[in-house]
Amino acid sequence: MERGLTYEVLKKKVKELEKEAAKRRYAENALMESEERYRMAVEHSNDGVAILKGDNHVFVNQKFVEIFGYNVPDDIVGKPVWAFVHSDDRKRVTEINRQRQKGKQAPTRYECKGVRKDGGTIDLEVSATKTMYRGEPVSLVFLREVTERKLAEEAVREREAHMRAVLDASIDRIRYVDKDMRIIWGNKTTAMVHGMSPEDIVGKLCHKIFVGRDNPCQGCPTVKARETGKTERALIRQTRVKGIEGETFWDTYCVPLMSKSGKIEGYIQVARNITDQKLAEDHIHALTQQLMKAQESERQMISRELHDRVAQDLSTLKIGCDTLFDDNPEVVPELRKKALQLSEILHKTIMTIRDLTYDLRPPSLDQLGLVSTVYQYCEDFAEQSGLSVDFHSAGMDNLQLDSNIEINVYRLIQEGLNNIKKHAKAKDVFIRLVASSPNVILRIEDDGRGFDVEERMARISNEKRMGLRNMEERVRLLQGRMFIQSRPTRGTKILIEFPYKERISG
Amino acid sequence: MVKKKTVLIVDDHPLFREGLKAIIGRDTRFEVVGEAGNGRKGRRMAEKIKPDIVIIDISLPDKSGIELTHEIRSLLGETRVLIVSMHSKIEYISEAFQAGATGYVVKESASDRLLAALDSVTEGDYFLDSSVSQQVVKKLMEFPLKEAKITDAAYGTLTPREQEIMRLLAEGLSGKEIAERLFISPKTVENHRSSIMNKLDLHSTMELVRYAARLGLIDVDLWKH
Repeated sequence: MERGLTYEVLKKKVKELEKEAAKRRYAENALMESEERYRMAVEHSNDGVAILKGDNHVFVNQKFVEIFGYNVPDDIVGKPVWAFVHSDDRKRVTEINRQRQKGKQAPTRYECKGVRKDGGTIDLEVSATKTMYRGEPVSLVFLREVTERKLAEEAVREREAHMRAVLDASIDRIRYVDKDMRIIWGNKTTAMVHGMSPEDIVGKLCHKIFVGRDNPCQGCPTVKARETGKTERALIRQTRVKGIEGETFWDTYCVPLMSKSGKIEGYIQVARNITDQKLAEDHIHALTQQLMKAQESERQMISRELHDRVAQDLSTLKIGCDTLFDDNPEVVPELRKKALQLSEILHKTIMTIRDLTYDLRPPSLDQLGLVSTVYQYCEDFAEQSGLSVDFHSAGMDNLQLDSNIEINVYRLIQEGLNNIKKHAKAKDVFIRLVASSPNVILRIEDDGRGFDVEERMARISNEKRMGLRNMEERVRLLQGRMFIQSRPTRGTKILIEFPYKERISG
Repeated sequence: MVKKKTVLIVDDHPLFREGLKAIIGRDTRFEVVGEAGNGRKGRRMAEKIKPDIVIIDISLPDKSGIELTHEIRSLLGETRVLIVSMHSKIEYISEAFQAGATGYVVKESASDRLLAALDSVTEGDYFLDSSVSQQVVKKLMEFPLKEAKITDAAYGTLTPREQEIMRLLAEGLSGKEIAERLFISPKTVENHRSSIMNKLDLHSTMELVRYAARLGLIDVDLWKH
């Protein structure tokens, strides 16, 4: 016996051992509890869990069994992995599993198709890792069925492709930009006309890439939409669009795109090239104006011819007729009477031609000036139509208006009054002609039954009644603007404003 | 025997001249002593013949009959001019008389009134064809009145700049805003403003707005109801 190995020492040792044993027991219990927890977690996991050793399943949970349409784990345990994988993926999945267990590089997440007990195919999302099981390397596999999610994703993708095809098919340039006007997405048209692909333009500033400007274009509706937060539209003229020669005109929209919380996330830009349409319109205006000018000069010419030639010749005829028998006193009275009747007809004809000359182009325009001529016309018109026409003018006497302007102002008043007579059923008409440097203001207002301006202007081109249209063209000819204000039963106000040009002297 | 009054006819229509000659031939106190188809020849003949009366058409191929009237009247103090023209408007008539003519007959009334016109003119009186005299008198009577009624004389005295400023004032812009808009100083705007008020005899902005509305410078309801 060793010295010092006394009872106390032994007792102490025993106590230590007992303590040690208790500790171990406690640890074992804890371990068992922990194992139980893990087992429970695995058993009740919403993912399918399996342990593969080599190619074979050595453990599967209940969820795993359900995913493949079996009843109990034993239906699967012991069977190889490839028995549950679709033939398309069998080789790949088996190989991944083997590589992993060998400790080689293998994907930890992948998708594959599985085969159910009933032969049906399912989409699976797999995540797997290598671990040790009873001292040997195994694969621990988690899997989730994603068949429905896959279908939904497929449907979304299909719809997106569909929408994209629709947008690509549009002749409009459509793009989605962020707040700084950088392109997030653009349809084919928007890129192709500039010789680029839709991918090329992503991330670029729209004004930079399409027109080479560092700043937004003049009148850009996106700039406006950034301020107003509303859809904006504008007609924009461009002189240097990439890939397009010459001047172009664009009908452009901008629609702010809001998130659910109402915050603006970006802007949809839609631009349509309306250059051809614009040119055609300009052409029509130019032609109409030429037509009007031609009409005026024709009228002037006819008026002059009638006055200076026809009426002159008729006067000669008349005097000839009146003096026909001066040297023949013996002519029978019947013949003299007949000559007198002829002379009277000639007299009337000359008067008619005078009136006609006046209607064609009032000579007083050149002689008395615009204000007196308009006044005279208003007086005559009031007398004929029974309307009360109140005409006032101010500041016009000092203006030496170009005769082209004068005749057009005169015609505008003529057309305005005739429109009122034909359609308005008015009693009173007010006309104001006022110089307001650098413009002239012409107001034609009536207290008639009025009309719906927008509806009327939309219908106007189909109508034979061209009154308003003619007036518009004339105003354009004067480089002025016309505003019509009218409401049913409330009368009509027409405001015309044009810059005056003085008669070119000499 | 009383000496016949000599007449020279200047008209580019030979047949019309024939007609005039025939009418004059009805009265033995007058005698046509020459004819010309244009102004130049008319003047030459007038200088040579020194007729008592020259009948002139306003529209001549080479010069205006008004011009010829003026020339003949300054060359030959004793010769009277009678205009026979297609024109019936007052401006032509007044121009003809201003140039020195003392008679005016419209061509289609020549058959009836030429002799009466020649009579008056020889006597040293003025003659105006009754078919136009009515119109002339009417115009003379109403013209100044109506002219004043339809145009605003006071507004007509404003300068272009004043017109511009008047409208902006009437539209409700302040002096400062107008100055900014027209790139001039507020002081200048104020000067224009007081000049406008002066010329139009206005004493407040309210009056100015009312005035502008009446002229049609700004939009207000002109309806009477």
